[in-house]
This record gives sequence, C-alpha cells and structure tokens, in this order.
Amino acid sequence: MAIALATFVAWIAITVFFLCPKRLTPMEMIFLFFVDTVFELGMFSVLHVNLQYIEVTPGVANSISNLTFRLVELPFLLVTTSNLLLHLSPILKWGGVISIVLFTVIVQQILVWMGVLNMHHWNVWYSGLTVCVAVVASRVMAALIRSVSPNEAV
Amino acid sequence: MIVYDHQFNANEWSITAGLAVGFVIIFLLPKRFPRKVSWTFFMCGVYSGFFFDHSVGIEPISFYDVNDRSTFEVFDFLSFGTYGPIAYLFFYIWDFLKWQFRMLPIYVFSWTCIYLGLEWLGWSLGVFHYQHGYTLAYSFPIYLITLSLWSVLYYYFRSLMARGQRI
Repeated sequence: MAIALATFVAWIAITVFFLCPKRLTPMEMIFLFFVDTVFELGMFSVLHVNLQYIEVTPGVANSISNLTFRLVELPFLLVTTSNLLLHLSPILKWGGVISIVLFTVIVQQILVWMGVLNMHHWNVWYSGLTVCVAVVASRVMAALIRSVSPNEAV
Repeated sequence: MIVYDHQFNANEWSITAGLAVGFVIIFLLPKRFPRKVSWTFFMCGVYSGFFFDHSVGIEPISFYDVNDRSTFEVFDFLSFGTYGPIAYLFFYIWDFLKWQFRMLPIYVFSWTCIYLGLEWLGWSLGVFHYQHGYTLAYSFPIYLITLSLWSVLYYYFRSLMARGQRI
C-alpha cells in the first residue's frame, strides 16, 4: 500500500512539473534536479543515519516508498518551485510554492501515519522547515545557474 | 554503528588526491561545452554517486559503507565530489573523439571497466566496505546502465544544440 501511495504521489509531482509554466531552460532544470536531489538527500541522510531523528521502518516496501518520495517526488517539486518563483504573477508564484510545501509536508505526515517513517525528536513543523530550506536552496542554485552565460565555455 | 578506523589515512588521502587531480584536469583541459552544460555534466556524476549510495548503500540492506564509519561523515560527502570530474571526462572524451553512435556501447563498456578499476582501488584503500555478500561484480551492471543513461543526457544536449534551443 505504501509503495502504491508513494508512486501515485510521485506521479502527481511529475504531472505538476510537466504542467507548470517553465521559466528555466531544459539544461538548467536538469542541473537543478541533480542539485536538489543531492541537497535534500544529504540533509535527510544526516537526520536519518547520524542523528536518527527520522527513522525509516525496516522493510523493503517502506524503503522503496521513502526512496520514491526522496528521489522522485521531492526533486521534481523543488524544480517546479524554482520555476514558479521566477514568475511575475505573485498569485501563481506564492500560491504555487505554498501549495507545494503544504503538499510535501502532508505526504510526509501520511508516510508517518502509514508507519513508513518514524519521527524521534522531530515533528511536522520541522519537516515543513526543511522543505522551505530546500526550496530556498533550490532557488539560490537556480539563480546561480541562470547567471552563467550560455556561451561561456568551460 | 560500525567503525572501521579512526585515522586520517589512505581513504581520506585518496579522496583528497582524487578531488585535487580531478579539478586540475577539468581546469587544464581546453574548453568544450557551455559552462551550464559542464556544470550539469559534473553534477550528473555527483548525483549518480548519491543516488546509488542512498539506494544500495543504506537500509533495508546496506550493501556497502563508505569511509571510516557506517554513519555519514564529511569525507563521505567529499567522496561524492570525486564522481563529478570523472563524469565530466566521460562526456568530454566522447565529445572529443567524435565517434559514430554505433561505437557508443564500446565506449560505455570501456568506461565501465575504468569505473570498476577505480572502485576496486577505492575498496583496496578503505573507501568502500562491502557487506552482505556484495562484490565488485554487482557494480558492473550498475555502471553499464548508469553510463548508458548519461549517454542519453549527452545526446539530449546535442539535440538541443542542433535545434538551436536555448540551453
């Protein structure tokens, strides 16, 4: 059941990504996808393995569900937020980003209710905060990659 | 938590040397790609390292540990950085050689052998610690698939350039 839910949610994230109006070029989005995954996964690894604030319940299904969430859903949504934050319309920009942050936190909470994740010294507000940090980091990296001239060779 | 050693020894030195040599090579090579593309190719390697370390290398069955402990440490993150220059070289040399597309499987296979050699070196120096029966042989298909996917990225970049699309 957890795998089905995680896959469904990941598919929603992919759909949202495809539907959202783009402001970044394809290579910029691919770069961001890589960076967002590394950043988010790095943060989660420290919280999970080192600090043990978040624990993934042992089991193949739980692990795959968590990985689907971390490796597919979150990176796609973070790239989407970076695209949205470049829009001029404040409603689209902030409405979209707040919806995505809320959606991500709710999905994480559902994973807790389903027993996929166990939180120790951790709660839903901290989850929300980490998602916000990831959104900011993604936007900073988007600004960085956009500032690079496309014709400048390395 | 498993602790393999406490010293700053072969594994840390090899990662430091790998990073230094990798970055020097990148900066010394004549420029070939737009900067954005170079960064993307570099991050492609770092991402792949992260991806597999977090799918094969952690629970439910952690098939390998990296560096001195089973938990994460600074050198684990630095070690992922060493994948970047190697990935960049993979794209760079293929672009430089200008081989025909039909030569791609041979090229991917050659790089798979290089990666296996580097992984063996990493294992010998204590960067990787295999567990639960994992051996170098299991990495063989992983590299073949990963490098094939990198080739898809390269041809996607080429198609964008050919269409004159903004990258």
